[in-house]
Amino acid sequence: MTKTLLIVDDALIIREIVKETAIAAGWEIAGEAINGQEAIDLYLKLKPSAVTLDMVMPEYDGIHALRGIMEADPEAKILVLSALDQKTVLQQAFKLGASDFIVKPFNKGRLVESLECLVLEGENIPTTETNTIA
Amino acid sequence: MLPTKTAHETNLEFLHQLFASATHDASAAMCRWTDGLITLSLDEVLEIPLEDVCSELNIDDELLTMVVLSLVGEVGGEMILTFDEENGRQLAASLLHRPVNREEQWSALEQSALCETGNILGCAYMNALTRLIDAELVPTPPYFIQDFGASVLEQALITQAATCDKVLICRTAFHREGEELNWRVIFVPTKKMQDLMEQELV
Amino acid sequence: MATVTENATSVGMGQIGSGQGAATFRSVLGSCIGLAFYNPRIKAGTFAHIVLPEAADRPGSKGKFADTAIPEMIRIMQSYGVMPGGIVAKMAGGANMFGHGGPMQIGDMNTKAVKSGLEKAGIKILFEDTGGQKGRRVVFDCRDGEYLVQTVEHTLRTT
Repeated sequence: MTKTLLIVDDALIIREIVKETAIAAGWEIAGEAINGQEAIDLYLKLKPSAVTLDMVMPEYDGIHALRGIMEADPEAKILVLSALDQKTVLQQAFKLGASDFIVKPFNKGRLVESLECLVLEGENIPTTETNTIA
Repeated sequence: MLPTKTAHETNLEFLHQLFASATHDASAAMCRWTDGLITLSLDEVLEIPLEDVCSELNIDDELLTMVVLSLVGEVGGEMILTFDEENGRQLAASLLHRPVNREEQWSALEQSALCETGNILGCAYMNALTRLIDAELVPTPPYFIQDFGASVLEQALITQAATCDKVLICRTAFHREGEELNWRVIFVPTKKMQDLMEQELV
Repeated sequence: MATVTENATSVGMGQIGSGQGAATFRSVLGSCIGLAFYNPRIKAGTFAHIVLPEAADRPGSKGKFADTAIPEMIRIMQSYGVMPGGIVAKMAGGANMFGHGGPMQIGDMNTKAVKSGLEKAGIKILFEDTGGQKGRRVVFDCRDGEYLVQTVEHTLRTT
C-alpha cells in the first residue's frame, strides 16, 4: 500500500528536506501546508497515512492543527517536528494525540524510522473492518 | 584593598553564566543544523544606556540581512540574527548544498534557510532558558528583513526602552573551524524576564 | 548640502542635539522619529531622536518621549530667541519595521503623538516622511535647514 505524507511547516527549507527524505524512503507526498488551518483542511481532503507537523507557524500553530485533525480523525498519525523542546508544549501535544516528537534540527534516519513506526502501528491496530472480516 | 564587586556586577556575572549555558545548547543545535560546521559562544552580557546601544554594538547604517524572532508577552524579548550579505549568502548556500547565489534578489529557499537557522537558534535558546527559569518561552515565526542594522535594532529595543533607561543585551559570536564569522545574535530580554532570571540566581 | 554624514553629530535614541550655523545631526531610524525644529532667519535648529509616544512616569531623558521632547525643543529654540511661531518642523521615521502583521506597531503611535504635540504647540510641519516598513538614515543641517532622508532604496531631500 502507498504510504502518503502531509508535510506541515512554514519553512520551505524544512518542507524540502522532509520531502526529499520521505520520497527516498518510499513515501508519496500527499501535500504541503504552511499553517495549522491549512493542515486541517488538507488532512480532511487528502487523508494521508501520516503527518509531519511543525509547532510554531504564522496565524494558526501546530496545536491548532493537532486539535482539529484529531477531532476529525482520532486515528490520525501525527509526528511533531519542531525546534521547540519544552515540557509544557510537548505535554499538550501528546495530550492532544501526537504520536511522536522529533526536535529540529533532526537526523534524517530518525525521521524515516519514526514515520515507519507510525504506519506500522496503524497496521497493527485491529480495526473494526478487519475484525468483521476475521 | 581589593575592589569589591557591586550587587549589580555580581548579577551581570550570574546572568552571563545563565546565558552561557543557554548558548552552549544553542551551539549544539547550530552544529547539528550545519553538519558540524558552525559553533557559537557567548561574547558578552552588557547593560548599555539606550542612547549608546548602536555605537557600543557597532551597528549603524550598514545594510544587514537579519532574522528577527520575538517572544511576545511580559516575560519576553527580541532576538536578532545578523549577517552581512556575503556571510548570509554563504550560510544559505551551505545549508542548501548549492553554490553561492550571486543574484541580487534572495530566493525564497535562501530566505527560508536563514529564517530556519534563526528559528533553530532561537528555539534552542528558549528551550534552555525555559529549563532554567521555569517559564514557557515560545518565539514567533522568524521574520526575514534586509535594512539598516540600527533601524532594526532600534525597534527591537522598544519593549525594554518602555520600562528601562538601560538595556540588557547578550551578544554572541559564531565560529567556523575556529575562525570568527561576521554573524551575530543579539538577544534583548524584557525587564520581566531579567527579573525572573535574577530570582533564579538568588 | 547635508550629505557629509561623517562630520555630522550622531544623535542616539532619546538624545537631543542643537546648534546654530555649521551644525549637522544624523540618526538612523526605525520606529523612532527624527524631529527637527528650525528657524531659517537665524539658522538655528534642534534635532531629537524620539523613541516612544509618552513619558507617563517612565524613566528616561526628555528626548526619549514625544510629550517631553517637544517642550524641551521649544525651550532650546527660545534660548536662541525663537518663539514657537518662528519654528518650522521637519520629521521622518515611525516605520513598522516588522510589518503590519508583526510585533510592536509602535511606529504609527510615535508619528501620531509627535504630530498631535506639534499641533497643540502651534508648530507647522514643513516636511514629513513617516510610516512604511523601511529604516531611514536622516541628516539635518542647520546651515540651510536641509533634512535628508535615505532608505536602502531611495533618497528624499528637502530644504
